[in-house]
Amino acid sequence: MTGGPRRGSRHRAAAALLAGSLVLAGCSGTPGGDRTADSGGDGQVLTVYAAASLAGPFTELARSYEFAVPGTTVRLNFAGSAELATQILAGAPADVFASADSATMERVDSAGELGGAPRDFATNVPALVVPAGNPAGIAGLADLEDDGVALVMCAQQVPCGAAAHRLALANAVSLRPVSEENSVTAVLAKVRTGEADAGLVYRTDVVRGGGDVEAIPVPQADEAAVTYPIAATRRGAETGRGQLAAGFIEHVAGPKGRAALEQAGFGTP
Amino acid sequence: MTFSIDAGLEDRGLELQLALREGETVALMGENGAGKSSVLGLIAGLLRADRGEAVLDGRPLFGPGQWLPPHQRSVALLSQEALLFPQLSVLENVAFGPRSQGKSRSAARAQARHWLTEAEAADLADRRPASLSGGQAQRVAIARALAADPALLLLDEPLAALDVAVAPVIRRMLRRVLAGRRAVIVTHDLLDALLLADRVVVLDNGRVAEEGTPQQLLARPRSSFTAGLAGLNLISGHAVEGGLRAGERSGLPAGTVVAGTRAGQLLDGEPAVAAFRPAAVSVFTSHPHGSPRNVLEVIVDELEPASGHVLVRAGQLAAEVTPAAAAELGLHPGGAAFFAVKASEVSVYPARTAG
Amino acid sequence: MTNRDAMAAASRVAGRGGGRSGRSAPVGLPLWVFAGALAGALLIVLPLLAMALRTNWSGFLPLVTSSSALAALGLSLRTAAASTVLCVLLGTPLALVLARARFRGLKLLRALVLLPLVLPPVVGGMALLYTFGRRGLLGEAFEVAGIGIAFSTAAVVLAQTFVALPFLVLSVEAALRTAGTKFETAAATLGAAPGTVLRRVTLPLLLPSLASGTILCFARALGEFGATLTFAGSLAGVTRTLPLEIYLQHETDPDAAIALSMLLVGTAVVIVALTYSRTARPGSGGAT
Repeated sequence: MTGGPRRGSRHRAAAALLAGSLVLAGCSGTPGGDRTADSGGDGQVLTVYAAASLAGPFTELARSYEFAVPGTTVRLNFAGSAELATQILAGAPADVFASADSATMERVDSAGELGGAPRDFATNVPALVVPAGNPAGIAGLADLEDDGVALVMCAQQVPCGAAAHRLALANAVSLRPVSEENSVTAVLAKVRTGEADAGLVYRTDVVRGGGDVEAIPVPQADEAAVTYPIAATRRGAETGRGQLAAGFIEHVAGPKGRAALEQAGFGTP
Repeated sequence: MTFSIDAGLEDRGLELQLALREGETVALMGENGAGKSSVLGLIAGLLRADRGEAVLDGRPLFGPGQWLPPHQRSVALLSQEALLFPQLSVLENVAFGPRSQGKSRSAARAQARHWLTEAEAADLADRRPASLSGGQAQRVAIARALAADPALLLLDEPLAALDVAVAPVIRRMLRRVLAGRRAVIVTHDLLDALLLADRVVVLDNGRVAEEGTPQQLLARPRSSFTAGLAGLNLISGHAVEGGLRAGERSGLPAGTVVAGTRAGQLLDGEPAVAAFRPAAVSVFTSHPHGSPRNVLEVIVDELEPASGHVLVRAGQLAAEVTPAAAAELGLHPGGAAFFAVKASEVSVYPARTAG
Repeated sequence: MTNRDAMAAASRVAGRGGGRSGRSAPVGLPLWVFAGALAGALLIVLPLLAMALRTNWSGFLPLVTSSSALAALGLSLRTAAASTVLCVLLGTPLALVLARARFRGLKLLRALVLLPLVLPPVVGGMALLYTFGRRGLLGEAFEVAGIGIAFSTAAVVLAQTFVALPFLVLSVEAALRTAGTKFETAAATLGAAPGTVLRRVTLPLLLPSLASGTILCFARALGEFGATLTFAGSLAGVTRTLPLEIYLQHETDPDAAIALSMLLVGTAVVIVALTYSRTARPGSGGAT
C-alpha cells in the first residue's frame, strides 16, 4: 500500500494505453489521406468515393487515369450515395465524390465539405426488371398494382427509391412494395434470386444483371431520370490533391469517361 | 430365493452370481475396482449387462431380450452423496417416491412424515436441502429411499462421505431401519459389515472371492482382502502333510512349506490357506537355527507404528514387535529379516467356503 | 514481497475452505493485467460514450417516438418475443437431446446447431432464403400450399430464431452438463418415470440457465440485422425492425439513427443487467 509501486503502475498503464492507441492508429490504414508522404516521388494517391452504380465504368476510368497521369494511384470506394455522404461528413478522407443524385451532393455541399462546384456528368433512368423468364408475367408498371405481385424497390429516402416514386407518379400508378431496400444492389439481388416478381432499379442495373433479369419497357422513364454530379472535396483540396481531383473529374466528363459510362447504360446530361 | 442376479459385464470384467433371501442384508466388499458399484448399477438398471439375468420377486429386471427401466424396478439406490433435489423441501423430497408412484399428495406426505420420523429427521421437514449438514442430508436421503417402498434397497457407501463423528449415529439408525429389509450395501468399512449385514460377499476382480457371515470371514479369512480386515497374515497354497505348500501368488518362494495346524476337513493337495496373527511372529536379523518354527526370509518394506507396537511389513506378511525390539534389531526398509512363527500358531484350512 | 506471498497464500487457503464467507481476500494480479483490462473496457465503453455525446438529446423524444420509429420498435419487440418463445420451445428439447441422448452423429449435430453463432448473419440470411424463400427447398412447397413466408413478419421471426437459438441451446446444455445425471438417476430409482423426472427434477434444475438463456435469446433476436435484411426484406411495420430502421436512417437522418441506437443500447443494458444479476449469484439461483 505504498505510493511508489502504485505510481509506477499508473505510468505503465498509461504507456500500455498509448501503445494500444498507436496500434489502433496503425490499423486504421487511412486510404489516401496521409499516405502521400510515403508514396514517393511524384506518386500521388487519389481517393474517389462513388455511388455503387458507378462501380463498372469508374473502375475502368481509374485505370485509364492512372495510365494518363503516371505515378498516380486511384483508390475507389463504392457504396450507396447516402452512406458515402454520411462518411464524408464524418471526416472520411475522400478527394472526389460522385453521387447518384443531386440531393445527396447538396447535403455534402451545404455542410461545406466540397472543394469546388459539383458538375453533372451522367444520367440514369429508372427501369423495371423481372427475373429471367418473367414468372409473374409482368407486362408493365400497371401490373405492379396487383396484390399478388411481389415488388421490391428502394426506400424513398435513398436516391433510387425517390426516382422510382417519380416514375410511378409520372405513370399514375400506386406502388405497394413488399420490401423497401437501402440500395439498388439489394433490390437487384432479390429479383435475381427470384424472391421478388419485379424490382425497380436503374437502367444500368439491367446491364449488370446480365441474363438473370429481364427489363420490361416503361414509358415516361426519362421524366424520372436522375443526374449524377461529381465534385472535389474540401479535404482533398486542402491536402494538396485539388489538381489531381480536378484532372480526374475532367477525365470522367471527357470523351473517355463518356464512352465508358454510355457502355454501362448511363446517359449524357 | 427372492432376488437373484447372474450376470456378466465384459468391460469391467464382472462375472457374478448373487442371491438374497427375504429380509436379508448383504454387504458387498472388496478392493477398489473390484466391481462393487457396477453390481449396484446392474441391479438398479443404470448399466446394461452383456449377459445374464436378474429376477426380483418373480419379475425379471433384465434378461435375454428383456429390460425393465430403472423406475419400474422397485429398486432404490442410495449413494454416498445425498442428492436431495435442491428446489424441493425436505418433506417434498421424501414424498417424491410415493408421488412418482401415483400416490395422492396427502398420502405421500403422510408416508414422508412417517419415514422422516423413522430416520430421526422429522424436525427437518420444512427445511431446504441447501441448509442441511451432511449428516442431516443423508438421514433425509435414507428416509427418501425408504419412503419409495423399494422391494430391494441398494446402498453405495452410504456413510463414506460423512464426518467420523456423525457416521456412527447414522449407522445405528441404518441398523434399525435395515433390520429385516432386503438390501445390498457396498462398503469398505468393517463396522458396516458387522453391524448392518447378515452376510458379506467379497468381490475380487469382478468375481465372488468369498462369502459368509461377518464372523466367519473374520475368523477364517480366505482372501488377502478379508485377511487385511481381520488383521491376519494369510498364505495361500495347497495342503500337504503337516502344513501348507505356498502357491505362486503367496509372495513366498514357490514350494516353501509352512508348518501349521489343520483346522477342519482337509485333504492333501486341496487348495488351502494358512493364517496367523502378526503378534505370533518373531523377528530376527540372522537365521534362528535349530528352532522348531517356520522361518521365512523376507525383505522389510516398511515399519508402521501401531498402538503400542511397531508393525513390520514385508511383502504380504506383517509382524508385530515392540518399539524397543524394533530399535534393538535395527530394522529398516530394504533390510533383510527373518520372520519366525510356531507351527501351533498357524491355522491351515480350505481355501474355499465349505458347501 | 514475502508479506505479499503470505497474503496470497492466506487467500488461497481462504478461497479453498471459506467459499461461503462473505469476505474475499485480495488476490495478487499483476498490474499490467489491470492496464490491459482498462484498455479493453475503454474499447467497448468509449464508442458507446461517443455516440451518447453525439446524441441530439433535446430532439431525442420526438425522434424515438416518430411513427416510423414506433412501428419499428413495436415490430422488433413483437418479433423478438415470438422468436424467443420459439427458441425456448425448440431449444430446450434440443439441449436435452444434445446433453443426454446418445446416438451416432450427435457431435456433428451439436456442431451444426451452434453454427449460427460463428456464421456471419448475412450467410444465415442467404441459407434461410434458399430454404424458405419462394424458390427455396421448402419455400416452394409452402408457396403451393398458399403460405408465403418471403417478405412477411414470419420471415423476420424465422431469421431471429435462426440466429438466437444457439444461445439458448448453449446455455441450457451447459447447465445440464454441469448438473450431471446424478439427480435424474436418483429420481428414476425412486420410481419416477422419465416424464416425471423431466418435469420435477431436470427442468427445475434448469430454470436459472433457462431464464438467462431466454434473456440472451431475446437480446440476440432484438439485435438481429443481417439475416433479416437478406432474407426478410425491409418494409415499415412488416419486416423493418429497429436495427433495419437504424440502418435506413443512418443514410439520411443520422440524428434519428443515433437516437434509435441509444434506445437499443439502453434496452441492451437492461437485458445484460438482468442476465448478469441472475447468473452472478451461484448456488442461490436454484433454491429460490
